[in-house]
Amino acid sequence: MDDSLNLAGRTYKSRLLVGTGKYKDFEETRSSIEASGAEIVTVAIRRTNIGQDSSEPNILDFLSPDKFTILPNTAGCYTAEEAIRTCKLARELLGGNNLVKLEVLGDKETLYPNMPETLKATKDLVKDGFEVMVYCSDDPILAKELEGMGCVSVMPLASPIGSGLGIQNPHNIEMILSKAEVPIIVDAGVGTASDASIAMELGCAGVLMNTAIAKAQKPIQMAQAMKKAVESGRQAYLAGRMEKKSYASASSPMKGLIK
Amino acid sequence: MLLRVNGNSVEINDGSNIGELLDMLEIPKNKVAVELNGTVIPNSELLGKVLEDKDILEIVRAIGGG
Repeated sequence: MDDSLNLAGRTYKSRLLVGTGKYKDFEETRSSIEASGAEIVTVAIRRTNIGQDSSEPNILDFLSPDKFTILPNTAGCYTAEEAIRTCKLARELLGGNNLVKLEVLGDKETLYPNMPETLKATKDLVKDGFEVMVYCSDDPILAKELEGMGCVSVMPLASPIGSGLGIQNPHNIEMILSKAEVPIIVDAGVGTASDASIAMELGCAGVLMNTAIAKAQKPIQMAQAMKKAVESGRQAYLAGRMEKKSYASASSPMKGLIK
Repeated sequence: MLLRVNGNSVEINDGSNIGELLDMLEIPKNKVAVELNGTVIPNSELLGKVLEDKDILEIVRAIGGG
């Protein structure tokens, strides 16, 4: 059965999207990402170092844009203006690639999205031809608003970035999903495999994570676990879980019991 | 002339272009993007773009991030 993820006119076999930050080195980054099976990988955009080693390797040498969909993010931006500048630079850097992960942060402590600035940036970026995957709060009204503005994917947080606390409000994610017409991808807060499975069982189109893999004791092994968790969660969602009941229901028939 | 590049003062010969600036700073020319005085310079025009005194540049690359 074809169960591809359709995103911005492209299809993907993997529903796991991964970040490339916080790894020990590029080799560990590449090995973990290969183990995860992810086809979409995020990168950050930063100033080049001036006066340092010019032979320093570039992450794009390890993760070729020919092999992966490179998703530049606007991490570290606190205003719409900064985020838009970053997206424009990223587009040139990646040879005209319009797909971006927009995140406009509120403060350094929570890294919660600044939603007024996120909405402002979304409006300008969509107008400028960007395909925006937007990191946002798990507010169903704002999620729908972002979809209506033309985002190709809406990405509510499960819990704060890098916290590993898992999905703190599954009911909100369900409410977002019930109204969504674009892929809803849980972004941020996943800590371990079961968190990813829960997101997929709720009906999310995918899960985006970084720290859960990069900061596991064994990142490559955790990447493999996350791959399976996303696949099994998706399969369970498609299979349709049994109804929850308040009381027991025997699995073995009563008929034919010995007396 | 004096430029501001990624927040640093950089001195370069008058009439230099961005390609020459990247050479001088030993920054590889591929896999970077450049903003000049707040405007992103298209890749196709990048290297030949002539700089002027007091220009402000941001030169960026991709790094690991989530």
